[in-house]
Amino acid sequence: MDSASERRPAGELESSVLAALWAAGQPQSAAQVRAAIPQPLARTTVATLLARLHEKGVIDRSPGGRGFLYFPLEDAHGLTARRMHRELDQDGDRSVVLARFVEGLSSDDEAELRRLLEGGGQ
Amino acid sequence: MIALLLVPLVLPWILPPLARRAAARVRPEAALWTVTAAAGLLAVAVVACLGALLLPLALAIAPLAALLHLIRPLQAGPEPVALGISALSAGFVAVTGATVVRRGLSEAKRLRGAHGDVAHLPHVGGLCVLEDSRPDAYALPGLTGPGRIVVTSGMLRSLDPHEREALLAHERAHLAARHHLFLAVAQLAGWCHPALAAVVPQVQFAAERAADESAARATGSRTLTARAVGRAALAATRGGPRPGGSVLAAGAVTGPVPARVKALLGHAPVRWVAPVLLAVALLCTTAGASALSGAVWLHRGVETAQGE
Repeated sequence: MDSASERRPAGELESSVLAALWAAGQPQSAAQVRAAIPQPLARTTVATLLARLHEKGVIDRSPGGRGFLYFPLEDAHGLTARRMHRELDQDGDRSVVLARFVEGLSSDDEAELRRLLEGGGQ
Repeated sequence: MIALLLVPLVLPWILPPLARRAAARVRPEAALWTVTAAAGLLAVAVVACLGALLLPLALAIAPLAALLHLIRPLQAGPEPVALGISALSAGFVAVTGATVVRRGLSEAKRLRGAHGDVAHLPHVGGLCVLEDSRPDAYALPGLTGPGRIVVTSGMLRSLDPHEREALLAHERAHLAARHHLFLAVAQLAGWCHPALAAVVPQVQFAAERAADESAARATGSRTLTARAVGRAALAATRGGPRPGGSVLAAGAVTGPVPARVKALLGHAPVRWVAPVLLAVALLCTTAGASALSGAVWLHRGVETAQGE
């Protein structure tokens, strides 16, 4: 067990587990979740995290082969996402205060980026 | 002597090239602080000078002059020049004030709307996931409490587990360092002066770079973080044409994303202080000194007109 990742705030580990469940796209067993997060965690830790997420009503579970299968709870058909996109992208006038992870790329940017990622450097 | 009050209106044009060099050569945290502080200070100087320049025009109006007990007209240089400059600054003040109020309200409304949208969604550790195939992720600053990290399922599916961690660490860094305050100050300054508007992208870039470096420290790998940023950007671009994308591309050889990836793949700038930061400090001092001596001179003029 890696004590460094165990020491991380509980919220960070919970959000990693939630992100892994969303990324999977289909119900996952506890063992699959454990394999899909980069932090090396004990089986019991993953079970605790999943139970806590379930209590908070963020994920649900259904009985599967050996134990439960877990999946994230969705809001009504991406309604929120559509509303936010509409609100945040009014007339191409972007919110400055809202720090977006990445913006769309121009074609030059895209070519340059592919070169950088494939070349692994300069 | 009225020129003393005009100098701070011209000095902001020196900031954009300095900001570009600072963003490229200094530690992102240092660049973020310096450039934001400089933009804020220069904006204050601009507003103060515009305000002071209103005086000659205002005091040419008899009732206002009587209010200040002027017994003779204010001498602020050759009358047509002084009144002309004064009238121009009245125009600038009106336009700037209207811009700040209008854009400021629309930004506040937008943030409140975004908060209202995610308020009903469950979240853990500040993370809120939206069911949406379009890859997107942002740090939604808290208006009263802590902020939220909002990520679409499409973004999570485009990244591998390690890259996901880099993304979350990046957004956590934005919220923890309260980067939205820096961006708000820069934006506010940008509405006050066109040259300061040109500095907003540099502040945004410095904030992204600071969050990238923070994510690299959290995940223990700068290469991994570079890959996460790069793959997220490629996925977001594949997600279809994005509104506003063309605005970004205008005139720039490479946009901010390739520059961020390049910086992460190369050596990080480690300098906290560089000549460029000293130049920024000198610029702010000059603007402040000029505005202050201009105001003192104008104050003396008013006292003279009051017969003291």
